[in-house]
Amino acid sequence: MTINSNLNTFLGKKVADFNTEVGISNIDTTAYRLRLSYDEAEEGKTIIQLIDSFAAQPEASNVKEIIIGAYDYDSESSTDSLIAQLIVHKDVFKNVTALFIGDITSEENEISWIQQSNIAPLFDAFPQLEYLRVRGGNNLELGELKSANLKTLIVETGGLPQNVIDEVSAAQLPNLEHLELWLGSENYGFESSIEDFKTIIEGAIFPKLTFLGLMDSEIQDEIAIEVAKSPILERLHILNLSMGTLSDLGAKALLESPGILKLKKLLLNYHYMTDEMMENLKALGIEIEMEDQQDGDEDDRYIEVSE
Amino acid sequence: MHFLIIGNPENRRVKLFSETVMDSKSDTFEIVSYLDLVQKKVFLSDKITNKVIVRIESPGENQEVRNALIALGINAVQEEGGTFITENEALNLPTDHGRICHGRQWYKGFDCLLNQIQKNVQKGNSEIRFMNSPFAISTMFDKIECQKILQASGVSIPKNFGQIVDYDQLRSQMMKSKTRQVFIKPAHSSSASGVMAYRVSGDRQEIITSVEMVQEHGQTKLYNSLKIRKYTWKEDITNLINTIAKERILVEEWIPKASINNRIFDLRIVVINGKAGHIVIRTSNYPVTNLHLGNKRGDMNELIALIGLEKINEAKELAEKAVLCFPNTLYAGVDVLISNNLSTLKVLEVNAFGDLLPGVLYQGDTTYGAEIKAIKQIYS
Repeated sequence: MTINSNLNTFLGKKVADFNTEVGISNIDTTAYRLRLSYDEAEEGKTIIQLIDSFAAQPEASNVKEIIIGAYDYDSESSTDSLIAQLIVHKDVFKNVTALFIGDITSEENEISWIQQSNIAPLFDAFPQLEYLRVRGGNNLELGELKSANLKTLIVETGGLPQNVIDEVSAAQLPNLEHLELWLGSENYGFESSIEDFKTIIEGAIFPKLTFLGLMDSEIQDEIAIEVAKSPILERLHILNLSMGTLSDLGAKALLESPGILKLKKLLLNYHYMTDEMMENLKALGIEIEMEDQQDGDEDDRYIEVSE
Repeated sequence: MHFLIIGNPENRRVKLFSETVMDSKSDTFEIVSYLDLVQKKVFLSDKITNKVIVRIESPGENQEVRNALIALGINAVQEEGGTFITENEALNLPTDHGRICHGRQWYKGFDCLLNQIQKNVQKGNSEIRFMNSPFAISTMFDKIECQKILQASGVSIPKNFGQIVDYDQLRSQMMKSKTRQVFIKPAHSSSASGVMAYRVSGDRQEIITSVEMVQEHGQTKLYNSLKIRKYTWKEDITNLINTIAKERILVEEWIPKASINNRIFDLRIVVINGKAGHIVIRTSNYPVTNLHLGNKRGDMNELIALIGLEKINEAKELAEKAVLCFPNTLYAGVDVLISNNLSTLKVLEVNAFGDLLPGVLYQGDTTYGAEIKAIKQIYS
């Protein structure tokens, strides 16, 4: 499985590609994606020009969401310059509270090939940000994460670099409610162990957290075992351990954890659990999603999204 | 009307078409098998009656016919200075199911047979009534030639590279043209046979394909399979490209396709007598969308909701324009790409035998039904 679709909706709004000729309208119902089309790239146009053009729209100062899609097709350029350009227009985009850098499908680029960069300057330029989502882990840096407004942080990677784990673990995000990390594969930059997630799983640093997703992991069992023991379960509404190599080993820990019963929802889609274990989990009586059961021995298990 | 069907009698295309002919009590048909033709057990000139309609079907999925066509291609391949296997070798090629090889020689043999068909039909009859002419079929079975013709007529197609002979040349061409991802297609293959989606980023690269690579006695053999594989090692990729390049390949830019319901897709549009009607949405989890690879047909209403009727009509017009480039072609299956941002349309392929869409109806007719109606209209 790979990422085959762009967003159709974003935070309750319909997503549309921004088209310079059409301009923007209905920003109350539409979120705009800035994506360089293949033809535009051929003609030598750049994502920078697209950002400028978007910023020049009369309605731009009221825009609340910006989605950055495929930003290049012919090189290995990073998101560095487009982030800088968003910051150039920070006074125009003063109402932007939600940003997604990298709504990119595998047709456009593999998740583990996307060249991210240091996105820390975004937090200084857009202190009002409440939602930040990033796809691609290569060269990704979050810097010193400090925001009183950020409620959602989503980092989707084919291989989560250690520095990002450290940066999240040291973050000062007192109002963070939703944290989602795609850990990815050791083939594509994940080189950490369960110990490195201790702070995040223990959860004291994010007092408002109600959604925790530690997903798409080759150490999904170990994560499940640690989360099952964590006091964070007292506070969480939703726990997402989907997309990884979760087997009966990790599931058993969840099954036996008293904290699990406090969840409103447990997401375990794409997994390697047995039918029997799934039955046991169902009997817990909480809402559980366990779609997409995989078949594979211990040494033949793959996460859902890696390359 | 009387139809003469040239094909492999056991093939479902032939069966389905002859069944469709039988639906009308007044129509009749006769099947001439490729094998009998090549082995000269049957002579077309004997079979041609006045006003007979000749339908040439795919010679595919029959090893004996394939071997015979490879044998028939020797002289032509020799003339163009290509490597070839002898008649004896060709006729005794072992059953090596799904193996991709001798593509050029096979094509030259098929082309030669198509020429013979043209001549012999002409001999037997003053008025020739082909559904698709042998020449048109031969042209459509050369993807490189096909794209040239489309381009010359201003039909929008992906950019392609000229002759690519090996990995190094392909890499340097991609570098020069700043193309990060391409499709590699054997010039004379059908369906997804030998098709590779190849891309590069920095020192990383990958090929996504249904081709299986097997090493045997120091020789690399390529096989069609029903499983999508991903090759990421440079050594494998070099080997794959160098081996497939021996088959004569078309390399074109891989334009990111649109997606529907979390699956990427393109359209197979069948054009009959100049009009596009039957459409299949080919959706896939992988860059190769051919339906036999476990891919699924998409839902037309969802497509309309996604891109709008106007865009679908634009795609149909594009398909019609593409088929117009091939004279004496009653029908063809055109593959149309819709780009990731749902705006750009490109013709990927025009398939001479692209009308096998069982169960798909347009205005109440199957493709075969519509073709028979169309030919009756023409000759009524």
